[in-house]
Amino acid sequence: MDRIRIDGIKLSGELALVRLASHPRPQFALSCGCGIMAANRINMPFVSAACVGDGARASWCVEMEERARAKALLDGNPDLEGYAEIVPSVGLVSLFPHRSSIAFLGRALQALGKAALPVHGLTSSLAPLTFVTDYALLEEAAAALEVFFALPPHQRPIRTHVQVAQSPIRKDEGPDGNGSGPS
Amino acid sequence: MTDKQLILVVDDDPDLVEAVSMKLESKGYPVAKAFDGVQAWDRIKEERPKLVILDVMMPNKNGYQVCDEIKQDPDYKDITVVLLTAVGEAVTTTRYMHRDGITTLADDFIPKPIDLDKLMEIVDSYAS
Repeated sequence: MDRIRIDGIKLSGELALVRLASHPRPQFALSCGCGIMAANRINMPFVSAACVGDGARASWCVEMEERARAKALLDGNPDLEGYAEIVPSVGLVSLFPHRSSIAFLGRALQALGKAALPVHGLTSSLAPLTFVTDYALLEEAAAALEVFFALPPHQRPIRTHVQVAQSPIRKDEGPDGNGSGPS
Repeated sequence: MTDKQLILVVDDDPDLVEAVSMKLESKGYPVAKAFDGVQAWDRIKEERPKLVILDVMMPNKNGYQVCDEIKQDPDYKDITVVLLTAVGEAVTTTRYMHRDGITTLADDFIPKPIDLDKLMEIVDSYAS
């Protein structure tokens, strides 16, 4: 079997996955939850919205150290209280470019499935196809993907070591904290 | 066949590399890609681009180090370097101060989020 040639595999730092899966108004929950994260300047390095039946069901990742604050903010909103589920210690493994190929997605799922690795979520963007798995299994996930995907010669998966944070909300910015902090 | 010169795009964000590459290719530029500083040097040596669009914060070797190495190497110092800088740095010069006190001199810079039209103006001025 020929391996699919790719430009790279990227591994994230340790994150927490936030789900609002069982909310009765999923589209509202997605919009409300994302609004709360943005207003409080909690970065979301991964966002996935799956259309299932009556609407979009959302999940997203936050930095591990932000998970308690994210949970408290979501539970503190009367419309979302009790719906936020946090999966701690997850990581992202991204392979790129996917070239909008269904075969690419199938091969990646086959690779992770064959290695019995958990997939908590997945999404695609312009270039990468990204899976959420257990943080402790990220290297194993990369190795499983390399069975089916060929990196350029002498290249290893890239591990993110730069963490991006937003500055605290200033008092003069108003109650929604709407401003463009440094990224 | 294009007469435009090769551009190397370097960033650890594959989406950004793809978006910039698509824009450059739509204007007829041949493009090479790299996703960290070590790969960037490999591409520079293999393909000798006319211009490098270089992110600053990258794994393995950061953009400052790569820029220093390009500008201090007599074989490569003529390669144009355009640094991609984060908004919070509010940079108004191409001379940057490292944490360790070393300065880097790039040829130009563009802040993130990137204005692709502005980036094309910069690229055209050096590489068309």
